[in-house]
Formats: sequence, C-alpha cells, structure tokens
Amino acid sequence: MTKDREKGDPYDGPRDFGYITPAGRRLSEYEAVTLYIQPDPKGFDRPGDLTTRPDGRGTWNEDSTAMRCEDWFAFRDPAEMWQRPYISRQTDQERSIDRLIRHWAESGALGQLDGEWARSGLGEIYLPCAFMEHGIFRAMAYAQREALSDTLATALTLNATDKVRHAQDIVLYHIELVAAGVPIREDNGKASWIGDPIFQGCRRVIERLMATDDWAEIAVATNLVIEPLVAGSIYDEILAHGASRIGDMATTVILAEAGRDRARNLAWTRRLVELALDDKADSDHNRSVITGWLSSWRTDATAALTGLGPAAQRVGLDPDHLNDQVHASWSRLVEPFDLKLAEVGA
Amino acid sequence: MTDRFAVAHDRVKDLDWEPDYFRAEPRYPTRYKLPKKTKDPFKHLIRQYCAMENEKDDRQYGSLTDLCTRTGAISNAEPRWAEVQKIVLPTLTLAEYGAAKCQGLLIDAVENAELRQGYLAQMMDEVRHYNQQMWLIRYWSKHWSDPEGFAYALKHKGQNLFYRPGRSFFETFMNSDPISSSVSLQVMGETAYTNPLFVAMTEIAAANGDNATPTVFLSIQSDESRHMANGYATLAAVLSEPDNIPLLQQDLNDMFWRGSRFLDPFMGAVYDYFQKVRLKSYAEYWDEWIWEDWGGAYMARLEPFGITPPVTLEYSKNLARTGQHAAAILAYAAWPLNYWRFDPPTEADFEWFEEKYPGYYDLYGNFWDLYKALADPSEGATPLGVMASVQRLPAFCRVCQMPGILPELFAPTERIVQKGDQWEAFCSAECEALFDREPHRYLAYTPFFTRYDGWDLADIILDWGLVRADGKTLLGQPVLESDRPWTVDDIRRCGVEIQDPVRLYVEELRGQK
Repeated sequence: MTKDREKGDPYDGPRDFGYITPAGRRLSEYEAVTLYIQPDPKGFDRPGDLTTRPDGRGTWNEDSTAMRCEDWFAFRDPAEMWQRPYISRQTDQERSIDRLIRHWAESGALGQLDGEWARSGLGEIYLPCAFMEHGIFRAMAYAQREALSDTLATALTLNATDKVRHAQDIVLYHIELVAAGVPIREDNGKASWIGDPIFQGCRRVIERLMATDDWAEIAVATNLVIEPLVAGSIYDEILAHGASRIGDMATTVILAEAGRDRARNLAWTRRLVELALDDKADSDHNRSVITGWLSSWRTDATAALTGLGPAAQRVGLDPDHLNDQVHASWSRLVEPFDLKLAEVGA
Repeated sequence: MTDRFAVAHDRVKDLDWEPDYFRAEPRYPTRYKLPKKTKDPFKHLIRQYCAMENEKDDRQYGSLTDLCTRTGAISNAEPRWAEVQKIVLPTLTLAEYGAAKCQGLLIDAVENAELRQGYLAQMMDEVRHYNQQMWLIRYWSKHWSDPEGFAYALKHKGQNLFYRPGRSFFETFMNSDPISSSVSLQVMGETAYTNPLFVAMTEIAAANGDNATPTVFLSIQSDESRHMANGYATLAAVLSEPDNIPLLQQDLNDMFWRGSRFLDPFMGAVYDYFQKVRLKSYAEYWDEWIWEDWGGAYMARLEPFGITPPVTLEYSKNLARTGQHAAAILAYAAWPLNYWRFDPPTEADFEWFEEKYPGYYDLYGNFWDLYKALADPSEGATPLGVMASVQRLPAFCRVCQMPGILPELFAPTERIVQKGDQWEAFCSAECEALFDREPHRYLAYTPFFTRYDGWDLADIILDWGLVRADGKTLLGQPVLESDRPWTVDDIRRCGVEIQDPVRLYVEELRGQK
C-alpha cells in the first residue's frame, strides 16, 4: 500500500533524525532513542511551561544547578548507555554473580570461608555498605528529576539503578553466607552503619549528599569524590585486599562487577565536567564551581577515609599509606581538569 | 532460590535510616499523610527485574529487526493509519518521560520503603518505554514512504497545537504534589487509559497492516500492570489515613478532568478518524475500559473508604462520543499547521460513523463536503480560512490547552473571562475553576494566538519549519496523495490571517457597550 517514491518526489524525505547533531560521524542508536524527549524551551519547545509546579517554578530550571551550560543536550554518555544495552549488561553481570555464588555454595566452598574474615571483614565492613549504596541511590533518583537534559537524566537513572543493584547484591550475598553456615552476623548491618565509628564519616558524607539540592553537584560529588575516595578505598583496597589474602573469590567477583559500573559512572561524570569546562560563555564560572565542589566534598570524604583507618588495619593495610595512595590516585583522576585545587586547599 | 530472593526482598526494604548529620528539607512537599509501612506492590529484586526485561527486550527488538523488517511490517500499513503515528508516538514519549520524572518525585517524597521499591522499577520501565518509542519512530522513518514527519517528529511536535494539550497534561505527572502526580499518572493515566491506549490501539494497528506498533505496545503494556499496582498501593497507603480522603477525592476529580479533557478527544480522533480497516469505535472502547473497568470495578473498591468516582466521569462518557469529532474537524481544518498527511472520511466511513454515532452526517457532513472541495490548491482556500472568515476561531484554554470546541463542536462551553488586567480563555467552567485556585501555574507561557496574532498562516508555517526539502511543499497535506501537493505559496495565496479570538471577543464586547 506504500506508494514507491521516485527521485525528486517531494515526499521522499530524510530517513533519520537530522535534528540531532551526532557526537561522532554517524548518529548512534543511543543518541536517536534518547535525545530531545525532554522538552527544550530554548530549542524546539518554545511555548515554555504550560503547567508549572505548585510554587510557580518551571518544569526544568537553569538554577537547579550552579553549573551553567549553553546546551545541556550536548551531553553524551561516553558508554552510550540506553535501556536495552544497560539491561543486557546488568543481566549478564547478575547472572555471572548468581552462577558463581551458587556454584561455590553448592560445592561447599562458600561454607569454608575463613570465619574471622567473614565476621570482621564481610560482616563488619561490607554488609553496612549496602546503606551507603542505598543513600547514593536516593540522591541520584532525585537528581534525575531535576537534570536539564534527557541524556543527563538517563545517565542519572541508570546510575541510580546501579546503586540499588549493588546494595541488593550485598544483601543477597549476606543471605548466601548465612545459609552456607558461615560465622557472620545475621542482622543487616544497620547498627554498624548507624553506630560504628569507622562508618560515621561515610554516613555523614552520604547524608550530606542526600540533602544536596544541586543535581550536578550530586553527580560530581558521588562519582568524582565519594566513589573514588571512599567507596574505592572500602571496595578496591580494604575488602579486595582482605578477600585476596584469604582466597575469598566470591567477594572479589561481586566487587569487580560493581567496579565496572563505578568506572562507567565515573566516565559519564567526567564528560559532564568537561562539557561544563568547555562551555564558551561560562567556562571560568564552571571552573570555580567545580573546584569548590571538589574541594568541599574532598574534605568530607577525607574525614570518612580517616574514619576507615581501623578497617584498613584489620586487613593489614597501613591507613596512612592507604590515605596517601588513594589521594594520589584521586589527584591523577582530576588532573586533566586543570582545576588548581591546591589553591583552595584540596 | 525463590526463598532466598523472598528473604532478600524483605531485607532490601530495611535500608533506610534516620539521618543525624544532615537533614533535607522536603523538596517536593505533599499535603498527604503517609504511613511508613504498607503492602509492597513490587516483589522483585533488580536481578530478577533485569532478567525479565532483558528477555522481553530480546523478543521485541528481535522481532522488529528480523521478522517485521523481512515481512514489511509497516510498509504494508494503511497510509491513513501510518500518518497519524507521526503525532501519536512523539506525544507518547513525553508521557513516558514525565512518568519517569514522577518516580523521582515519589522516591524522594514518599518515606515508605515498600512503595519505593515499586517506584524504582517503574523509573527504569519508563526509560525503557521512551527508548522503545523513539526506536519505533526511527523504524518508521526508515521504512515509511513519506518519512519526514517521523524523522523530524520530535522537532515538529514542539509547536504542534495537538501536542500542547498532551504536554500540559503530562506536566501534571512531574509538577504537582507527588501524590497528586501519582493520582494523575498511576491511578488515572495508567490504570484507566493505558488499556484503551496500548491494547485497543494494538488491535487497530494490526487490523490496519501495522505490525510494528503492536510489537512495541504489547511489550510496554506488560510493564503497565505493575504500574497500576504501584498506583493502587499508593492509593491504599493514602486511604489508610482519614485526613487524606478529601484531598484524594479532589485530586481524583481534578486529574480525571485534566486527563480526560485531552485524552478522550485526542485518542477518539485517532481511533475513529484514522482507522481504514474499521474495528470498534472509540466510544465502545471507552465504555469497556473506562466506564466499566475503571469507573465501575476499580472505583467500587474505593467506595468503602468514601471515595466516589470523579464527578465528571459521566460527562466524559458523553465527551467520548462528541469530543473526538470536534477535535478531528479542527485538526483536519488546521491541516497546514500539522506535519502529517490527512485522509478525509469516505462514504464507507460515513456509513460506519452513522452506525456508531447516529446523526453524525447531519451534524458534520457539511464540513466534510467543504473539506473535500478545498483539497485542491487551485481552489485557493483552506477550511481554516473559511472558518476564520465566518466567525472567530476557537481560543485555546489557558489551563488544558484544548480548543474551545468541547464538549461538542456546535455547543462548546468556551468562556473568555477577565482575570485581573488580562482576558483569559477557558474551555469550560472546570478549567476556569482550576485556574482560579492556582492562577500562577498557568501563566508561564504565551498563548498561540497572542504569539501569532495578525500573522499570515503561511508565515506561521515557515516559522515552524513545516516545509519539505524543496523549501515550499508542505509537510501536512489535506489528502494522502495528490498530483499537485500544496506549497507554502498556495497557502499565502489563500490570504488567511490568524487573529486572536480573545482580542476579537473583547473588541466585540467593548463595541457592544
């Protein structure tokens, strides 16, 4: 029933989304299925807000972040993650965790896990981290509502989902350990999160994050400061070191899978910072804002890291060395931004 | 394994704690009181959720990329049906996007771990849906014979007069008290209207040779039942606190009004005017899904709590029989401002209309005669121009954005009223009442007629970029195929000047004095 169009027929038009300027040579599937779903009052959706919020604020507000950007829709997630590849990747990750844990549980290997490591490492350090992941999820879910483009909101939504998944993986692993007869606490670790001195710096920085209103600050604080300095120390250094010392392969696998997600989330947040720093009109302003954020959040993250010292000692790590090592890595991480952090004491 | 997940599911709801170091002010304040613990509408972990959605994705995208492409799933579609997808699909994407935002509101505002589990999964579902729908739009643009309205749908929809009421309604999903947003989205939008939308539209699409849309829509609808459960669980939580009852009744009334005001004329026009192979009428679908299922069975479950169906439910039953004709006639008359091709009803269609809506031809036959007579550009006139020359055009409602032609074309309830220093148009007393309660929420934009008062229709078309690659042939056309498609020069020759009906009304009023 379709009429075949001849060349020159005025109805023979463009066959792709030419309104999108692709970041690469060709329009990607990610760009096609994500961009301009959020109305852009500066672009195609000129009428503005037709029904505002009860307090009169608009649907999206430039002052929802201290960052400024000529075009937030220019943001692209370097992983080009949209729902389908994301779900496919998460399914693979979860399947591999599930398969391995099941295998070790059924083979009896899980039940032979070192009791002291299970009690003091997994029970006292890893299990309370589910609360940290959950807190970041809460902050990210809010940030996705306020983000100023669909590409940013999608990245934040997927980031939020990562955090729920990580929290649930910790909970599920704990249930497996208990079921396997491993000598580990049976409660959910909330008492440690609330009361153990080693976690109070972590809890403070997470509660600050949950009370932060600036959506871009939430992304920068989480993925450029809290994750590399605090979560990175706990997962990649303290727990990874402790697990490898006693041959705990199961924990190592779960940590590695979560680490892949953290790397992806770090990458998109770096791109957000680069977008802000490359902004023609507001580069200097953004430089100042981001420098302030990194400085301020680094102070709180450093306090959290100091609090984790006894946990590092438990697995045989020198807290001062860990502190130096993590901060050196962090300095290399933010070095490409050329932010002169030293001048603000960071 | 199931037990393990069940235990874990209980555990993951205990990950909240009372902050000590920093305490956030409510970012989305709600007037409702909510219990901290309720029934859980979503008993899945992310691990289970991902596996389930991954399988559905593989099936849907696999089917589209393989089977549908090989069998020409949409190139065989009825052109009348295919063309209207150019406005249906991009409008839906914003509904999904607003729904994702709504979950952000709810996760932040509702301190209830059970409900939050469901909101999280829905947030991911909504990303899924807007990605699916964009994928489908791109699929149409690659395979449809007149692709530009699909390829540039997201650009053109922004100004479109029939998208605006949708956008206005979808903004209630993300811009209201979080519980009011839940009522608008989950209780009203999803529970009442997604069945007629995703199920009924699937039937019509398949009958009209479009096998791609059902592939996507049925996959979407499989998620919607979980969203309805979210809505019901939220309602149950709200109903457990007696002080909430009057608030909920007010929100049900308001949100049903806002939703029905847009959805019934819009969906009714799509179903009744763009089917070629005809199945049921919109009124029949409405009676089955809205009147009986939602207004009857669903609302009956709320009666013991003192909640009654929305006060305008019965009004909407009538609107589902009249509003679509008014909306369709205005959409057809305004074809130059749209970006798809229209196909006017044939004699066979009139027979069907007469059977489904007795007395149809007597009411609307003259318009269709005029429409067909003016389809050729050599006639030098457009239906919109003729309408504007006879009487002032209907104004767009300041609140819902619908034109002042409802509930019936020849018996509208449009009202133009002075509010402070300004004169404002409303489609009804109900929308005026909404405005009076919160006028500031509806004054952040410039109405269409204020913006384009005194413009030639041709210049609006150019301002909106509604011409094809040759710079003159219009994207919208009054018929599907023509040896001589309309150009912007043809429109200019028609000499249609757009005049603000609110201004004309006030001038007329002052002249009478």
